[in-house]
Amino acid sequence: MSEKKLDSASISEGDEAPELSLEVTRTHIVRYAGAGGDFNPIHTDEAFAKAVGLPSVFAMGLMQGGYLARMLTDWVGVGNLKRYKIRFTGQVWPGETIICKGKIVRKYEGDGEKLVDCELAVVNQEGDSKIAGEATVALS
Amino acid sequence: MVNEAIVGKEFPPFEFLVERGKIKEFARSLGDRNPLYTDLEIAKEAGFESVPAPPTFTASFLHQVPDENFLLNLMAEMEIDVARSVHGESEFEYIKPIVAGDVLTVQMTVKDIARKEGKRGGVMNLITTEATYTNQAGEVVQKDRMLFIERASVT
Repeated sequence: MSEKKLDSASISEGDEAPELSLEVTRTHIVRYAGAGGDFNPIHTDEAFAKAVGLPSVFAMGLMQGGYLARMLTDWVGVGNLKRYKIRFTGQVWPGETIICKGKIVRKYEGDGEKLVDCELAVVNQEGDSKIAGEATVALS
Repeated sequence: MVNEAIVGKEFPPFEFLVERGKIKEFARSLGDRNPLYTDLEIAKEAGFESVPAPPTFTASFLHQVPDENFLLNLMAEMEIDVARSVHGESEFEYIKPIVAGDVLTVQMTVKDIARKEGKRGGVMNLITTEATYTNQAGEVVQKDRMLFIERASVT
């Protein structure tokens, strides 16, 4: 048995992924720092962040990049991902809610496989962009 | 100002041990309860040799680098001004699943340096690095590219 995949017969261009949303706290940031190994104090030390002129600590781009990837693998599976690209368009601050979104923009065949390209985004509760992303995924 | 002569440079490779506990810790840090990351039976039933790593797990290479200042030293060698630089993009290319037990060799290179006119004048530098992950069987399993943006210096 192999992992679940999106079924090429039942999906279409324009289909959207179930969204994932989360209110970001300093604890989320510290927890990701511990797991990911990025200990830049700008992300974890409030006094340091304020001393360099920032309103507070802010999340590493790859933290929200990780939540976006979680939304994606909940939708398409883990082993079917071919490519995942994210561009960081805005900082995420504690207290903001991030909303992770995905949509199928192209369905095609390449290298003998059925594939889709997805357009991905992370926005906050106001709709401000935090990540613009894309992924290529194999179908069954 | 970044040194263009550095395009193509290969940095010293290092080893990345993919540990099951680290996969679980990484997934949990993102609130990800997918049992594939923690349950060996479920992972094997799904066709993986062991529990797979989440898509951005290789971002934790910072735990695996030979010394804590690896990234800073790398940027210094590229003559990038850290104070003016941000991580702009990350791209992950998946060739074969990375699973617990893998012993990866990570080779980082400078892939490209481009210059662009800054919005407020001056020249921005766009530096792309690429990390190639090769497993214990000599198979390239993943390639990660990172784009760093060095903003124009204020004159």
